[in-house]
Amino acid sequence: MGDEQFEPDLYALREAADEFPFDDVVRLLGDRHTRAVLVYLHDHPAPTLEELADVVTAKAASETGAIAAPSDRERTQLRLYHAILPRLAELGFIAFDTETKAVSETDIPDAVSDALGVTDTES
Amino acid sequence: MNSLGEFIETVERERKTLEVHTNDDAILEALRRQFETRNVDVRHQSLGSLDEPGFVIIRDVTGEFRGALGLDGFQAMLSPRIHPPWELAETADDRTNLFSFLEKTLFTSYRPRQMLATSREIEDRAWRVGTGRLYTGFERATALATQREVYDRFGSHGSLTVAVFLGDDWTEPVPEGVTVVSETGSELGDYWFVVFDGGDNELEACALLAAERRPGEFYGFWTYDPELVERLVTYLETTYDVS
Repeated sequence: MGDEQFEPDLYALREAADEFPFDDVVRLLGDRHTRAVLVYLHDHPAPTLEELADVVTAKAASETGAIAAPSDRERTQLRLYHAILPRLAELGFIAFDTETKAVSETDIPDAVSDALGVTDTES
Repeated sequence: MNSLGEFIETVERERKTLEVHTNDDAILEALRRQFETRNVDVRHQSLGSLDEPGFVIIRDVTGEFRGALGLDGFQAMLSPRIHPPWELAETADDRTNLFSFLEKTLFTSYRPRQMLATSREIEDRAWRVGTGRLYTGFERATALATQREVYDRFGSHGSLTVAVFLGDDWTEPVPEGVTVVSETGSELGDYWFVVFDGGDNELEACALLAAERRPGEFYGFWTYDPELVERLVTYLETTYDVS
């Protein structure tokens, strides 16, 4: 283990690359919002779109030192709905129910969680 | 609005929620303490696997998202010595929604010292702008007497229109350029307020309104929402003889 830096562990990802398209995942992890979504999903496997938009917007604000207004949240929600969540669904990491506007299932490969530095707290 | 009390009731109904996302109990407790004298619900959410420092989400009475920021930034903002509320209003003009949370939240036990400090901020602003309407409710003539010199100067400063409101009689000479409204036994005896309409610039509009619930203990709000300030001005002008 060792270093607790928040940088994707590309080696671990590469090892598990037969589970998912490596390049796509690396690109996804380069995005602040997507990282926050994946970390949040690790703890909450079935959040609503609203809930994700709230948390991801607030998390981004705390990282950039900005104050997020409702318009920022609105933009984040649109990105989640039209870009981030569909990509995660394509990869099979989540199932998204467009009726209820909520994630219905989460199945993130361990290698991806590990790359994000999310350690399982279950002991 | 039919009374000053109704203004406070309106703000009272807009109770907000502060959702604190943190794994740090000390921070949570500090925020709870800080907001216990305001009509704000402080709720806790675990940060889970997300990195510290956490963040806060501000919600209106319907649960709608009104703003969010990092906990470190929020705490810095709450520290009045670093950022008096009025400075915030100036530096964050495009963030009205969030700041309308920090203002227009009722304070439930301001002391005269805090009331004076906030009043002074509004008076200073009126002085700087030098135009517009400044309406101040002193509750009692004795309170105006202690501010007599200040209001003497206000009365002849720039093109400010100045009126003071009292719940008892003013027997001394009226400060020049100042309208004195006194109605014995009226609501004016119960409310401390300072209302400045900002003159030509509504961004400068601000007001403080509080009821003295127990001697020396005030319950009310401050605001720089131009619409609310305008409603207060209109109320005072239509209810009392200000001209």
